[in-house]
Amino acid sequence: MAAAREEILAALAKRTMAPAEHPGSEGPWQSFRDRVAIFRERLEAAAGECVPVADEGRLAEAVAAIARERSASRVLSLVAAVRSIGAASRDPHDVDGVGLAVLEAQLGVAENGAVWITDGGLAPRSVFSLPEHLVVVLRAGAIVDQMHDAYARLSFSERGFGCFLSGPSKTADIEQSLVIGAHGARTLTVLLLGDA
Amino acid sequence: MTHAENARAFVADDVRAHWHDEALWFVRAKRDAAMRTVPEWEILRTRAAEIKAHALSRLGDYLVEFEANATKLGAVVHWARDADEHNRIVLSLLRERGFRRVVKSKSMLTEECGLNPYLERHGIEVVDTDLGERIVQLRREPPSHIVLPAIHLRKEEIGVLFHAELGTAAGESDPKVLTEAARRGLRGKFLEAEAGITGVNFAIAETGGIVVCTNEGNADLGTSLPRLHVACMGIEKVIPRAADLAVFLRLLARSATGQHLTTYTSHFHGPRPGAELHVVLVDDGRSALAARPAFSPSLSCIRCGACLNTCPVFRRSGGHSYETSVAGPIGSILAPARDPERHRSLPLACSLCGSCTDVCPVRIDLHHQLLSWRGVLARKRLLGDGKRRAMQLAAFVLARPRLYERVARFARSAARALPSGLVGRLGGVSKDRRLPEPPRESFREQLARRRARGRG
Ligand code: SF4
Repeated sequence: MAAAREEILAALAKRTMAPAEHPGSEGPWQSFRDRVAIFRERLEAAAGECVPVADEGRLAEAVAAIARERSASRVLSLVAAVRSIGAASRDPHDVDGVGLAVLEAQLGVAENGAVWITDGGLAPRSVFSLPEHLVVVLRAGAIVDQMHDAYARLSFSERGFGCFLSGPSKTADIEQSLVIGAHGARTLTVLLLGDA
Repeated sequence: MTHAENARAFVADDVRAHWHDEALWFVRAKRDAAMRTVPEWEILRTRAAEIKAHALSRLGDYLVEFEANATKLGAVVHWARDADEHNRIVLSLLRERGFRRVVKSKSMLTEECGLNPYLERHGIEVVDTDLGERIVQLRREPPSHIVLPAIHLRKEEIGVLFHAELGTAAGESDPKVLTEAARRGLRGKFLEAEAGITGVNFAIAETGGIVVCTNEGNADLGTSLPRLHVACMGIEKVIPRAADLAVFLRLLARSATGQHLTTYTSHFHGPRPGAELHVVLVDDGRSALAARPAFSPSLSCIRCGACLNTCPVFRRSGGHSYETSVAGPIGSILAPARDPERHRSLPLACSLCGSCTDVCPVRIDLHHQLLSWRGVLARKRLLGDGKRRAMQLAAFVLARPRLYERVARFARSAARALPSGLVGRLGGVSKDRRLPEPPRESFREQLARRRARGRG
């Protein structure tokens, strides 16, 4: 093993590739006059839904309506303002059978309708992919224009998991026809706070 | 078999060949539409090429930096010189823990290494979880496209397969129903898996993290349930900084499928609590390729598949014709680097139209490299005697203007006199070609006539 490492590094050190500078991260990068509108449009293009919610006080009610509509009896919430229904243990397998998970996004990205969510050590990671339906709470003010601005706000100094999620799970592997709900969530609804 | 021979079998099914061509062109059109939403697209492509050129010029340093940072986060990094060493590392990780049930998400590297058959020979159950890969796994054949593994199949064929393997109703071929059946079948596999294997789209030197992109969420399911995550990557996948991801991710999904971003773009920094993360760095010919300046830019490839979708030869010949894990223009550059003898027909499976170079998000000069390969193969005498003699003859004639004029005059009258399909009888790629209507006069003859008239 150590031999492999040394051999590969030696082979790479011998090679004659021309030195090239890193170009840096400065733009000109795209910006939008109405980020919220673009975010909505791109999220919908990715088969997600966007529902405006006036303030935190209305979140529980909005989630309850979605749970009813999706006939989800077990709700696992990582958002303080929304209560879970049916307890879940720390075992990632136990998330199987959760009808609806409620997550909080740190960021939204206008250009692609994605939200950035992290595990934050709060729940097993399977909460991103195993539940039948996902609800993500996002503050309208946390939407950035594009991915450069998104990465400028993220830090990866610690152990952890983070994911840009754009819409529900999907596939087009059979004859290029789009099917929603391949393995992960069948629907993804973003509750947009402060945009009603 | 040569690419042309394999392609003959593919085009024999006319309906399928046309469907394949159109389906891929449709993906290309979606890519164009997505690209047009980004005004700085061309700047992004240049940036991506520059970052990759930089990263490759200091690849050893970045690999060491990645290793140090990944280790700090609690991951274990392994190094493998070739496919065999890679396979042995993965098998021993499983054996040491007594694991036999593995779920795997898409990884062209493990395809290149032949990991599945290797593990199966050693009593491990490996289940491919990407829907397209699951389909081809059940059919016991390799994927035909790096992004769309089952694009060579029609839904009726998948219906027949699922009826036999998953018990769907006979005659059922609705993609929704078939996908749902696969989902149900694979849920159980995910829940009982002991290890999850994934590929890696990007490894970040600065942070020690890896990024995996899927649309289905299968890499996320496959790594969040079992206690062991093994991530397999070619050494060229490392990029310097997290901020570089913005450039690549803005290009990748748009180039691949016309989406603005893959549905799940997951960043793993260290193992999750109570679990293990192992990263296997694989060379398998990459350091040797890095040492060949004419071809080293091909290491910048981010496997988006755009060059396959746009290639007139790929669209009309199907991925299996290439007999490589990566097909299409990029595969035709990578494969001869590993085995020029075996893959010598691939650089000829190209019309030099340059469409691949136009769409490549990291600005690899694909068609130039394909042309360079022809030169290399010709010097190695791997192009076949007929081709070599024809080229020698052409070189002789072209170097002698008077002789050329005489030959050309003869060719023009001969071409008018002979049936246009004659050239097809020469075989090879000329089989489906027809002679164009030749001009009555050459450029030189026209010029001479006009000059004479001007003077008179
Ligand atoms: S060579 Fe370029 S276009 Fe082709 S798959 Fe790689 S990155 Fe995409």
